[in-house]
Order: sequence, then structure tokens, then C-alpha cells
Amino acid sequence: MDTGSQRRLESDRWLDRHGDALYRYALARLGNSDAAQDMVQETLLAAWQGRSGFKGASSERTWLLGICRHKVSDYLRQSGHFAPSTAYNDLEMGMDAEFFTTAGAWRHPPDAWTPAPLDEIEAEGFWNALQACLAQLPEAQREGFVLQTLNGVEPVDVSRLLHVSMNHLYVLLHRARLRLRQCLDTHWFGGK
Amino acid sequence: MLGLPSCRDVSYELSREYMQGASARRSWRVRAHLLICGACRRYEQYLAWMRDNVRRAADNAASARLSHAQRERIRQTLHEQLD
Repeated sequence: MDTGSQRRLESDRWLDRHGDALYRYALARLGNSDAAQDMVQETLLAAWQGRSGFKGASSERTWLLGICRHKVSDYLRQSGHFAPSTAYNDLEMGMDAEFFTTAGAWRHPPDAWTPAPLDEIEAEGFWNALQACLAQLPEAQREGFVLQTLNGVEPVDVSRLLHVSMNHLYVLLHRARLRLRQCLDTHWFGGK
Repeated sequence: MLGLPSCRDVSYELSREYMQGASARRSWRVRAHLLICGACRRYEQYLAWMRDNVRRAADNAASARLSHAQRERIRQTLHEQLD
């Protein structure tokens, strides 16, 4: 039987190890810090109640993000916002024409730039620019990017979480990166 | 372009490669395209920069993390609920 201190220890460990990842995920989907904080709390409570269901088939973080995903969808549904169904179907046919000519050449070739690693001072500015650009992405692309690139979830686990095939995930993330480049060219790279 | 893949195809292949990480293999056709296409080389630089810096920004930007006060509030609530 779990004692109170065991329960506290486990929830503290989850909060310390995964709290920021859950927060970033919820923040990217909700755009609201207070609501994102609530989602972290609800996720960890639900995780504790359902901990026997964690079989270790995925990482602990992936399992928690899966719970958080449901919590965020419930929140969006209850607050009258669009909540994606379990299967995404926005392959955005025709989007390629926005970025490439019919012959497949870039319409707006990436600008020349000198890549330099972000320093700690620039991190906040870049993060804000990235948040603004992420907010402009279609929901599925944003969610895929946040899970895979921002939170480091393995692609195969992202495809399971989003209920999409690997090929579909590659397309979603490819399009997310194209859109982000365009947006960040204006809001970050171009201004540097 | 000399029977080589288009920029559209190469940008997709590069994106997939960056997601697959070390297990990805680059075809000679993509390599050949990159040799003669500066725009796609710049796109590859962008992908590499994003891979190396997005998580760094998230780890270093204060607004990308739970604040100390938020974290303690959650901890307190969890303790109350789990007791």
C-alpha cells in the first residue's frame, strides 16, 4: 500500500523531471500560462490515479504527454474551442504551391545567413518569436513539432500519440518546418 | 535540374533525415542536388540550426519553463490531493 510520503515522492519526481516539458506542450496548444500550469497539475494527478496503466511500452515522458494531450483536448472542448479528433487529416493538399513552383523550385529561396548558436541572452527573444510563429501553424503541425522537436519525443511515439502514420508525421513536420522558416525569417533571422 | 530531384523533394528528404537522426542515409541524388543548389544548402543549415537551438532556447528562456512559484503551487496541490 502507498504511504503519503511515497505518493509525494513520486509526484515530486514527475514534476521535477517532466513538469517543464508538459508545461511547454500545454502552453504551445493553449497560449495561456495559467491554463498550461493547470494542465500540468491535472496531468500529474491523473497520472497518479492511472499509474497502474503505465506498462513501460513508451518512456515515462511520452506516457505523461499522452495524458496531458487528453487533458488539453478536454479543456479546449469544454471552453468551446476546436479540439482535434483523435486522427488528424490536414495534409493541406496544395500547400506545396505556396512554397514551390510547379517545377519544384523554391518560390522564396532561404536567405543567406551565418548560423551562430543561441546564447542565453538571445534565448528569451527566440523563444518568444518561436511561440508567435508556432501559434500560426495548423494544430496538427504545431503539436507534432512541439512533441518531436521541442520535447524530444521519438518520432515513432509522436506518431502513436497523434494517431498518424510515420509518413503522415514526416509530411506534417516537413510542412511545419517550412512554415516556421518563413515566419522566423521575418521575426527572428531577418532581424538579427 | 540534370535529372536530379527538385528543391521541393530535397527539402522533404532533408526534413525527414533530420527527424530520423543518425539512422538516416542520404542518397547520392540528394547529395548531388546540394552540391549545385545554394538555396537547399541554406535550408539544410536552417534545419541543423533548429535542431541544435530550439531545445536550448526552451531550456534557457524563463518563459518556457514553470516558474518557481508555479512549480511550488503545483507541488502543494498535488500533496494535498494525494494525502
